[in-house]
Amino acid sequence: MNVAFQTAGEFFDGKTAKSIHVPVLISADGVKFQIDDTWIEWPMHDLRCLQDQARDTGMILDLEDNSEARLIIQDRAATAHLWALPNRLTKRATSSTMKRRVISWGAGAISSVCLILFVIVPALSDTLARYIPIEREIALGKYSLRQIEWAVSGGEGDLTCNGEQGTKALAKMAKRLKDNFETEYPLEVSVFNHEMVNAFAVPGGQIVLFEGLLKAAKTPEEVAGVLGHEFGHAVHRDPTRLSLRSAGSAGLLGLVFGDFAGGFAALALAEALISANYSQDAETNADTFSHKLFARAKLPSKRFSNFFKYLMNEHGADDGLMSHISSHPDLAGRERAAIDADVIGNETFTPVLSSIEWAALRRICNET
Amino acid sequence: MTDDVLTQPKTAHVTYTGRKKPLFKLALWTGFLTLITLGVYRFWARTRIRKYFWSAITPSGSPLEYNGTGIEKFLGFLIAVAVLAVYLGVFQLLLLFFGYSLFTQSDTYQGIVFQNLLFYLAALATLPLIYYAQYRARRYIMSRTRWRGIRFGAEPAAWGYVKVGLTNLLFTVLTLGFLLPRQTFNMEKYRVDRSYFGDAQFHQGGEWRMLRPAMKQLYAAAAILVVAIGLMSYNGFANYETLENGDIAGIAGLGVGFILLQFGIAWFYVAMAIYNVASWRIMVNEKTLGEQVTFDSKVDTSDVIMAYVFGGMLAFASALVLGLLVGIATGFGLSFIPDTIIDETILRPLGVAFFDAEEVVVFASFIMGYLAFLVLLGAISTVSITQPIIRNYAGTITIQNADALDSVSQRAGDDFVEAEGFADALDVGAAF
Repeated sequence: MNVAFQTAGEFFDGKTAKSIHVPVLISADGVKFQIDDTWIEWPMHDLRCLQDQARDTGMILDLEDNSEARLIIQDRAATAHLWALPNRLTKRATSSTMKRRVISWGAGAISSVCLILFVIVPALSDTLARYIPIEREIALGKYSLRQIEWAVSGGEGDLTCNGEQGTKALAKMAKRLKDNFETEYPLEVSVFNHEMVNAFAVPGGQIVLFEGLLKAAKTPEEVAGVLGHEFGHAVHRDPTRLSLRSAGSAGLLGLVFGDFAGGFAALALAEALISANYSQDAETNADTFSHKLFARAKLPSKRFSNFFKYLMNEHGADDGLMSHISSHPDLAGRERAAIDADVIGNETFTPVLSSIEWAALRRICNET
Repeated sequence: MTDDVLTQPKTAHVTYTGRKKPLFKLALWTGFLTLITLGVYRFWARTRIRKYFWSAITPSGSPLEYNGTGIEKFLGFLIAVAVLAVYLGVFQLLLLFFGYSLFTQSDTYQGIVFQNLLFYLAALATLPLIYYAQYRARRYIMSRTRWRGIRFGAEPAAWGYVKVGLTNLLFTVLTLGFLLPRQTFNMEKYRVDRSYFGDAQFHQGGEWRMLRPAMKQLYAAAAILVVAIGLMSYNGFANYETLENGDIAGIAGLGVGFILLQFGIAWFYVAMAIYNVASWRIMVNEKTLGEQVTFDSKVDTSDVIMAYVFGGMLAFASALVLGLLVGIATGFGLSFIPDTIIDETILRPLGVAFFDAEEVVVFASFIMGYLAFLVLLGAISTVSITQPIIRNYAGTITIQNADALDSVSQRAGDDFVEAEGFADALDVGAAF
């Protein structure tokens, strides 16, 4: 038998709230304490100590298997003695029932989230997008267009360029493409006076090209390719579908990541990944749509491919584009797809715009 | 039998023994672990912080004990995700769909009113679920709290709570808030009358009218708001004619109304805090446990509000300064790494070579500083806001006839698989 350390303790039997003062012996075998005439032994192997307590001194002991009774030892020397002995005071095992539950519910949670994110939300939003009345979509598009304009201009408002000759050229380019497909939307194209090399479509068939794009393009066919791409988005109702989708996934991802420091960063990353996953398909389909328009309008989509070449060479210098890239398929692939879709080859074709019209379009924001 | 010996009933105090430094260390460390585990550790972090707070609250010399576990909260989270994923995903999507379908120019007055209405309707739809989750979360916390080895507990009665909550809320709304005390009291009574310490049942005595004095500041705030809105609408609200015609009295009236409005809103928030503290105190004083044990709270309203205001300012300012320092230090440290190494090891492998090394350093410094700010803000506010408030609430309670507690017997455990997962998922869980 080891030499025992003697001290006093307060015992709660776990049956009533009555406090019982007991003499305690601490040894390598564990702790022993006396109630009335009986000595109770708590073996070292089962002995546990409550953690994260708001006290500098004292310890509250309990047993691994019977966690109702408590023994409190206050004496500093006694607690130090106990800590110094070989012990398992901080080891609390997780029951196998709990482990099983975590594993099965974990599997349930993961499949539930995947089902929602990749099956139900996409299917539901694609279906629902068709039931939104067109005039509502247009109103919504106009509203978001104003908001985007406001945000892009840094709160200054009007960015729309309306040079007379440029507008005419733009209308001609749009018509060449529009004549080749049917749509329920009144498609409207405008140009924003901003250096970003970008273009976008909002719900309801409104499409915006940035002036930076007109400046970066070498031929009108490159611009027409982008325009066809945005027409594709409009016809496929992508802006509406994708915003419904992201609403569905945002609600869910907020639940998964909760609100903790840095949680929103994880949330933002996850949202970006999910929306990139959603939108890559949409981008590919919009490209295909654009290629088809080119074929029907008897235009060489090979010329459209030059724009991707330009982007690949230049994108290091442009901020607007960086934000654009992640949601789009890789540029080399898009370039190849545009070349493969070409039906004109080396034959002659009627250009989208004459060189005078093309020059006018490029000056649409600073026509005098 | 006559009892002619008057024994002095024992009055016990609740003391609060928590201190700043150990709590700060705990909060900072668990916050850090939460960050690097992308949030998974948050269930364990909350458990450990609760253990600290509970063990600091010491009624009659024996500390409370929190013996909830991190893993059961994690399980509760998984259950909530599995069950609520469908609800949250589909619900949000449908909400946006109806928002779009009914979209009218949302910058018109009617549009804004309409969209707000839609939002409140949606919120109303989740209300039953919120009350349900709140009751369940409270029951979970009660079942994981012990004193002298004896469990607390609450009856499983969450749907009844939903009913009480919704009916009383309806009356509050219909009377423009005048029956708020009735709602507060009835909901608290429902919870308290179903709560236990061991085999002893809690009871909420008194009646709702005793909370009326706590409303005083709210009445005052309401009066200010009525005057402000009256002044503004009398002088033509957003009517530009007043301004264009140079109607000095009108402009002055609008201005005074506007200033009063801001003042009234601020007053309203303070009044709400006063109401919460005061009604809590009044109701504690009418609570009994078992046959004899009663309570007395001396919690001070201004102490609680000051803890919020000054504790909040302290936490924000110090976290901001320290976060900035971390950001600057990161930038300084990274600036010693040659650009080519950043280029070779980060930018090229990631296929983002169009960034230059300098941008990476700035970006990394910003992120590090921001994350440090968030973790520090959490840790400091635990010490500068949460702890003082708990100290104020808990440390001002006295317990009469505390001797009677000795005879309280143990109650059976309450296996609670989903812990507080639902309350968490709906963001209506406890603040700590």
